[in-house]
Amino acid sequence: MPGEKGNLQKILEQGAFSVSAEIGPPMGADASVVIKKAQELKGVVDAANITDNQTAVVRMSSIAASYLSSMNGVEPVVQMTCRDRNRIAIQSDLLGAYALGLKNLLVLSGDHQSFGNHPQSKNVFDVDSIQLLYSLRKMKEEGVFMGGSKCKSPAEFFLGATVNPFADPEELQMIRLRKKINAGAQFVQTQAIYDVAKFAEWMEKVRGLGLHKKAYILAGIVVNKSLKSIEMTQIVPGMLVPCELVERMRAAGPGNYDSEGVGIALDLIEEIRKIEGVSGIHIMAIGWESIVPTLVARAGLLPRPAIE
Amino acid sequence: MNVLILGRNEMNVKLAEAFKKRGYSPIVIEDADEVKAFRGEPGDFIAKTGSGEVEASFVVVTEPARGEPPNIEGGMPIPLFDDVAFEEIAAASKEPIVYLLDYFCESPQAATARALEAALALAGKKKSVAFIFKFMRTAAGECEELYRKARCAGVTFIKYEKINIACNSGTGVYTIKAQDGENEVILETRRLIADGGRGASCKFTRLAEKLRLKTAEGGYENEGRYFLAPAFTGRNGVYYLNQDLYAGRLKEGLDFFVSAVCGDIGETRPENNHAAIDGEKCVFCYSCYRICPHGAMEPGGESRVMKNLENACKGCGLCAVACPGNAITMKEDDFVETEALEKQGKVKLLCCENSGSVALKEILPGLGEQAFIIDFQTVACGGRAGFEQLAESLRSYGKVIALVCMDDACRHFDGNKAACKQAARLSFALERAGAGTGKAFCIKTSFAMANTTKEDILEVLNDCC
Amino acid sequence: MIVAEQKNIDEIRDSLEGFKSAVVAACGTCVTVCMAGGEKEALRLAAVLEIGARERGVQFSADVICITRQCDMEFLAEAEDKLLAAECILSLGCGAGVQFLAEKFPSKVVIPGLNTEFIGVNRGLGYWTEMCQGCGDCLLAKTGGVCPVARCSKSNFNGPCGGSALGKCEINEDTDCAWQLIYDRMKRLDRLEELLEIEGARDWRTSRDGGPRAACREDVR
Repeated sequence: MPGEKGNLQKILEQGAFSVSAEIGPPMGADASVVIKKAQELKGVVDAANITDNQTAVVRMSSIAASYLSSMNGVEPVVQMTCRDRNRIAIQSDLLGAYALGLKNLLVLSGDHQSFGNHPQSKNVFDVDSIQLLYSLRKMKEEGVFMGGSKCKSPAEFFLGATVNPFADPEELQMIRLRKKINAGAQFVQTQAIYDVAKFAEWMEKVRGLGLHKKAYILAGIVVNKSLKSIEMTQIVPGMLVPCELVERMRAAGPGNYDSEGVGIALDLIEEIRKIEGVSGIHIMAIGWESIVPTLVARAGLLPRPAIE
Repeated sequence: MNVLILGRNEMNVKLAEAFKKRGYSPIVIEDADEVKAFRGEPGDFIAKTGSGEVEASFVVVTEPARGEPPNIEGGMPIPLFDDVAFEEIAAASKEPIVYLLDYFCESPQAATARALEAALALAGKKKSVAFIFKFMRTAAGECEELYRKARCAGVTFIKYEKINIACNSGTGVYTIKAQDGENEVILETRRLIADGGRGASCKFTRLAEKLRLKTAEGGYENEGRYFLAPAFTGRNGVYYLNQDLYAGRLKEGLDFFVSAVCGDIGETRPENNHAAIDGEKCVFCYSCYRICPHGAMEPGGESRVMKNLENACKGCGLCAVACPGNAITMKEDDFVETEALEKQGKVKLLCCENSGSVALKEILPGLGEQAFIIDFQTVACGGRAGFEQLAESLRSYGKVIALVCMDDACRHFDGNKAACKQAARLSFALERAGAGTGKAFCIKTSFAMANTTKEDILEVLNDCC
Repeated sequence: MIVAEQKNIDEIRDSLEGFKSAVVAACGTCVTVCMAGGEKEALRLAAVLEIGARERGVQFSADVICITRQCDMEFLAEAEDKLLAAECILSLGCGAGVQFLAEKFPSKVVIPGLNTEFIGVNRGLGYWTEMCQGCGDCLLAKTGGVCPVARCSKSNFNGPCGGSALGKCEINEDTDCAWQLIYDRMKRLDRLEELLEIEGARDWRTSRDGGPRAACREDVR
């Protein structure tokens, strides 16, 4: 129903600790892939991000896959990057998404196309993520399109943004988070957290600025299945993985990497939950989506709270 | 530029013509004894003659260095080898023949080859041949093969350190006592024949003394090498035309000689070679200012034209290569290509005067006849051999090589690397333009690397022409 | 300055297919300074084309002319005799020069020898980087003199994307993150607070998106 709030928003507003995950749409037109993933996550998470051509690789559209997900019991978070569409296409697609009953929207800049399978393509970046958030907030609050004309039935998304607590320069990144929230972000998903101490320091600054009261902070959790995957994560720019965690994985020995990966994720979730101002977790089980139910269960986060 | 040609030589006329074609003014003094005194520096020599002073930028000695064959005990001269002598001996008795390769130091390659060919030919006529020599180049050019063949044909090789030759004028028998330090071999024959002369001619010796060329062991030598070999003497700016070396290939020999001398004259370039800037073409882009290793380029102030500080300029020419507006030329430019000589199928070699030309003087004698296909030119810095100079050479030459310093040896801050990059860019461009591969090369060398550089150059020469 | 780069020679060669001669027209301004289309490069290109043709057994000759500025008609007029006599014109000017030549010499085939790349600065011998995209609405006053339109890979107006690390852009390590540069400048100028203001969505009509542009100074026309 238009105007009605979504699952994720309601859970967060009632003060419950939210759990979300990700569904990567397939590189093809097969709906069953999305349906299967949704069925696995049904009842396990409050919402799932449906990525928008992540790493600039062509996949099924986020909005279409989101619809498939919503039809199969998992509330989607539509993702929209600024890379591929100009403001006309973005607004048009989002009106359609909202008309399909999709409630949550995560706005991102989008990975540069040079990383994907169409490095030859022209990028758009007509608006940046903050400009898009701001204009969607204005559409919601004032009922206007970006061009200024009236919009009769505006899309009223629960708006989200992303943040990397470990990116530099820290001061500028904090300015950017403030801008995102000022522009209209109601929830913020963080980059994967491995270094809890560093994250706690960052949260202290967030609380200092009162940002946790203006938007829900959802901490990103990555589950690693192998030693190699955690080692690779460590060298990704902007990712901070303490050596102890890599060592812990290595010490577990081959054959035990998957269970140790889950163990690490569980410990991280436990510690992050203790940090004031964190409203939920967002699980990114890249290439290992099937582990999410186990992880959520063992973290003691099941059953998911009912909506009042 | 004056070139002084000294000596009586049948090639003088052609030599003078060749220099004239290249834009030099030849002055010939046929009687070497006319030179009473000689002084000056490359680019500015003065020869004092009976009738006044002659100024010349450089000097070519053409007076034959080889004297008459030595008179020996008994007063009978040793006949020199030539076609007549060959026929005579070949037709004569079955007596053993002794062939004397009579150079006191390392013999020139061409002379060795000729001597080995003669010995081989005589052996082929069923003669018993002994070949006696002091030093012989068997490792150069075709000599190795000839030496092997001669041995197989039964020629006896005898190396000596000391030699004594006596002749009985009554019987006409020569007695040759050759010592190699441990053993003494005594040969007796009526058929002794010699290649080369035992010493320099008196006239040549007198001239060489006046020109202060080094002497050693009766021959003229530079640090162990006979300068009788290629074109170079031990003194900069003084060259020697050794007619014997080019026997049978006079035209190529003369071409090579003139090319070698003209190429080397770059080194005697006047000190005042510097960058001249065309104010109309200068776009004031600072490229020359940025590339100049000597800080010799300065913004010209109000004129908005770059200015060359002549006192600081070392004439390396890197700025002329970098200038995108084609506004810089080097005064006394060393890149005036002349149309005088045949270039098709030949290789142009641009050598850095710091390393390339030094190494090349070592290398050339060892290249044998292949040296004839090289025209070389000395440049102040390898970096001067830029894209357009290399391309300009390729308009008439089959290939072009820039011979530059090893890294760190370049006196002009990576001018050598600039040359390599420009050669690579030209090669790439030519390939794309449909000219195929293997046209422009850059070889790094140093004066101590003559051997490996020779291999590099041979590699380029061998898949060519 | 406009920065350009010479096209691959095989592409130029293919464009010249069928012509027995060409006049290579250098331009004495921007493309001379960026070492792409000045007299020197024109001479080099002419030599390479001629040698290449000779080796392929094809008849071809190239003549070189340097036009002070291909984007001003008076300079084109100066070169008129030579250009009218040409079988075809290979222009080493920027895109503007090539087009102006084609316009002023309607009977001639004009072939571009360069790829026109960007408006940039020279950062040392033989190295240029992009600085301006000619968007027609300069916001450098707000961004510490560093342009996020031209120098941020995503033209972000409100700060760095998540791909910036250690001051470098995510696309490659050779590219500075424009927002790091903006941050450094604004911090030094003690104007960091200004970055908190949300920069609204752009009006791209002033840029190429608004169609081909013209600049007109009525007072001097």
